[in-house]
Amino acid sequence: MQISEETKERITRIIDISRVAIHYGYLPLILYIGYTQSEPKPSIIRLLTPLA
Amino acid sequence: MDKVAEDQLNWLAQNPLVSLFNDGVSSLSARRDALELPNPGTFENVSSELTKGVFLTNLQFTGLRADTAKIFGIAPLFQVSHSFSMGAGGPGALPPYTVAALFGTGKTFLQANLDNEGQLSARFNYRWSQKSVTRSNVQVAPGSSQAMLQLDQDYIGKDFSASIKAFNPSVLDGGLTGIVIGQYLQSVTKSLSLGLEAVWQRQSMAASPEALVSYVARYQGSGWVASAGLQAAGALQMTYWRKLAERVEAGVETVLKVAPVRPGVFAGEGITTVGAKYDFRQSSLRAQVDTNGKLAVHLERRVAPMVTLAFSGEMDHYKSVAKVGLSVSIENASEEVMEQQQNAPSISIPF
Repeated sequence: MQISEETKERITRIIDISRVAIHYGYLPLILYIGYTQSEPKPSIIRLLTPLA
Repeated sequence: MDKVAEDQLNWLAQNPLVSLFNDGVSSLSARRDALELPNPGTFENVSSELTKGVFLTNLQFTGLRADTAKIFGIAPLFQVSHSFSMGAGGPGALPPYTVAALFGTGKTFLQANLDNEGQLSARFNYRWSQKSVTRSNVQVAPGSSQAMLQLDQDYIGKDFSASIKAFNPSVLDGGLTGIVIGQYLQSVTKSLSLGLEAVWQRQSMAASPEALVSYVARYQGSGWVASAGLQAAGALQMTYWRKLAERVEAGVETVLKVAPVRPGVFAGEGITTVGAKYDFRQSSLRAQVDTNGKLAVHLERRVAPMVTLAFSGEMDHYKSVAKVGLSVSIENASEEVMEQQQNAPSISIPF
């Protein structure tokens, strides 16, 4: 299977961007989903600090 | 009649050859159902009663550790935990600080672990149906362009389990590279199951691909399990696990490694581990000793409904090395969540 240089570059770029997005976005995403879906809603301070 | 019209339209599917084939398949599956074979569990869990239940391989730690877990919901499950660790050195040591969040419903499971060095381990699992689960795991370290991706598709059949895994699959080099593992475990009788694992790997297009095959067998009696596995690299693993009493389990594992030195001459080494686990009302004690002179103990005690203390110790008598670990974990949930926990419907989260 041959992939042209252009496509290869594009795929590498997409992988790079998604890696950064996962690195910085995944934990906040879970916190956000959990916060919006939980019943009762937890308080934000309790959600973020290890103590309290 | 509708039936006749249908038959005329579907003459392709109704010709003698196809119907012979269909009859064959359906009678075969009917016979297979009539055997009433149970699902054998997954390939990885062939000896899990012993290696995960009794041995303390995954439980051992050194140094001091403190975990606080806050449970914000049961259905859907939502939990945030922080863990602190100190005094642990060497490879495999826990990072000083880790924050983890997990969220699970009956169909999806999301988990993220982030440590103080910025290393992230992310999981996303999705259950397509009762039988089929896709798992993915990504590990990203800061400042490096190397990420680890693992994709995993499991299928739990009536009397078999199959899974296919891929580690860092890529086609960018002009061909498939990475590691692909296929696993299949089939019940042969009500207590015997046989399995096969095939590993295919190619690090880069410059290297030639390698393939390895491993075999396992598992026999489940009443209150005991025996398993044997022959790995492609030449290792033979045998385990025996037995429930001695309601709260006591014990088992033994032998691993023999045989590697050819030169044609016809084999060099072997073996290691045998014996372990036992006692469950008390508020605590559980595991102990194991192996032929390399290693003695390890793990004691876990629930001192209050939400507080657990754990002690882990290991002594290597041959090397005169000792490791000790002490941990406290505190679970934290509001009263409303505790109430939810008691009358929550059980959901099968695809962990």
